[in-house]
Amino acid sequence: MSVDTAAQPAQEAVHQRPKIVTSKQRVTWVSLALLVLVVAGVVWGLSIGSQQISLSRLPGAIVRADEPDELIIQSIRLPRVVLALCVGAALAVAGALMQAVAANPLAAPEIMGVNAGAVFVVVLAITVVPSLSGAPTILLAFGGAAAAGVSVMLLAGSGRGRVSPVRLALAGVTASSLLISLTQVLIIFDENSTDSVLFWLVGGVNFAGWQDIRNLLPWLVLGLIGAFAMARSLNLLALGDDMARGLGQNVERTRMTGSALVIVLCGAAVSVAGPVAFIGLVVPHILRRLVGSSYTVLLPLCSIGGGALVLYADISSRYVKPPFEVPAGVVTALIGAPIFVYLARRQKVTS
Amino acid sequence: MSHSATKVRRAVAVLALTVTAAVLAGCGAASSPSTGAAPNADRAAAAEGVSPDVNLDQCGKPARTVKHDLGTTTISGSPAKVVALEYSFVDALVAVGMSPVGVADDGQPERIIPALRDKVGEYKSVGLRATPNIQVITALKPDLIVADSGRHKAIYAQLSKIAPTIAFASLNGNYQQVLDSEMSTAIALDKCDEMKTRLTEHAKVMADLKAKAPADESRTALFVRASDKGFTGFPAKAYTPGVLEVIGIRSPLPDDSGEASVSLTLETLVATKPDVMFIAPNEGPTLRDTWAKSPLWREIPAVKNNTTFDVDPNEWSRSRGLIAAEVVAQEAVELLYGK
Repeated sequence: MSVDTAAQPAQEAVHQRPKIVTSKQRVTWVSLALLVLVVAGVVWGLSIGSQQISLSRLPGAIVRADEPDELIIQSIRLPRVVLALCVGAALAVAGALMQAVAANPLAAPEIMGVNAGAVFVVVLAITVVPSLSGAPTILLAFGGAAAAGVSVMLLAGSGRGRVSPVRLALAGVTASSLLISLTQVLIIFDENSTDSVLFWLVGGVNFAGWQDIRNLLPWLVLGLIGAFAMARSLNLLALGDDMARGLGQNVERTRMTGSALVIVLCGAAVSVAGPVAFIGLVVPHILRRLVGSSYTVLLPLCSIGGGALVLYADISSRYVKPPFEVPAGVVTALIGAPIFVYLARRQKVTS
Repeated sequence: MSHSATKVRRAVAVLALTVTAAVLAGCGAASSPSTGAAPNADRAAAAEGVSPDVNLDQCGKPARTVKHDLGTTTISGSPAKVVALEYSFVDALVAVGMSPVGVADDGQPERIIPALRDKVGEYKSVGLRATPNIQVITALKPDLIVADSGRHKAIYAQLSKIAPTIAFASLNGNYQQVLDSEMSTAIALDKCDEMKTRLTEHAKVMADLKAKAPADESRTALFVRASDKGFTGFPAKAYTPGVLEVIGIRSPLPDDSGEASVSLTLETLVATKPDVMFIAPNEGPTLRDTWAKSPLWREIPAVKNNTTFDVDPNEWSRSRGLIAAEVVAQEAVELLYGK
């Protein structure tokens, strides 16, 4: 009797989950397509700008940059392209992690308050203590992302064991709105930097330099390796908490580690590029459709796919108002918002 | 049947959202300041440098109807208690020998430039320019409120209930619009003659400063705001480049963008090749400090020629007005020609 009732919900849970089976061939094709996309995007990104520079200068620019044209490629276009790939990878992997940890397909760093927390602290630093901004912003962003993330978890009641996905999402949205309004208050009070902060708030890699990449890279590497190492635990978590526990998983620890990695990845990405919208939502969802839900495959592909998306968004943003700058976040929001609506509607039908 | 209908509806919803988002994104870029037409000969004699759109025929009437960006407002008598919601309008008041009872000064009185400060004297701060405090304005019982047509559009109706309110482009206004708004404000204040005299003087000051510059000045000068996260250039049609153009210094940025300000990368800056740069930096480290370390920075003609000057953002950017324009032009001539 008791065995029957216990088995029933677990079986249902298995049925509701998307299939974890992946076809190897499919994964290979998708990876190849993504790599081609990235290489093409890198070449395209390096070849456009306000100065006409022939691509034949590229090898020279990478080896030794003496002339202005080579310097432009080496110190302006190359870091921009590289930073786009890094930021995209960080945000997309953070999104996938968040969806696994929250067991909610709509979870994403910008919806869970993590990005808003990082943004608020960075803007606070710029407006209140201008001398503080610069290098330490990355640590401040971690602080903001962590504070927001932890508050959201507490608000959702994670201290008492289990977190309902719905409560987590509600708490995240509430915290996000609060932090966004506080950020706006800061901007209204400080007219000094309004223009440039508004630009940064949209998110983009327009002013990338090698220094930004040096700031981001250690955290990105840490976050990505951590995330890839967690893939198996996340797969088990996807079976449902009860099943995962039954298979010997420490569900709480998996959630905590996952959240910490999200904070590292998002805090680092936001502090250098601003909150580029919807990457963490769009990329994992598209890739899940293509290669299935196994995180061992999904997470590495997300890092490439996210990079590709930010790179192409940045390239399209350069065609909006040349030779002047428009943040890439405008483009990702234009792509992301309709996809979010689509996902939200689908969600309502299936649940 | 119903299934395909849902699909169509869904597609339409997604499409509508995308279009709305695209249109909204476009709107931000579309609003461009219009340049006033060339001054008509008869009117120029009446008020120098002011465009014919300003209804000078209202001058001196007991009840004057002033055309402004948010409609027309009739003002009777001579307003004595005036609230200025932008530094531009403080400039206009000082130009006709008056001072405001209230100013939206962002709570930072030092933002009122030295050229105006003494003449402004005591006033009550009505808060931030972006969000002035309606209660404080009401308590001042003003006879006239001068507002920004962009920033204060949303509270225009509220302001009009307190006192007759006129609104002009200051934040995104260009040099011509600023001159026109000074004259229109003077009409509302019943100070037409004073402003006409001041405008004539202004034209002379600017002409004298232009005379100090070599007639064959061919260098271009870029005015930029440097901040922590950006480097914002002002194209030819914006206010500060407009002032510099009057004294014969052109902007290197193309003026067809129709924007009040544009965001620049170091590459665009190098490609723009400004011969002179006037940089108004924010407090603290700015993006300029990072760029200055790059060897490319030295490729900019202004840096090569050692003609890069730091200027005060309060004087060069925030205080768009007739008196402020003279301060800017004076400083530019001093920096460039040492006179």
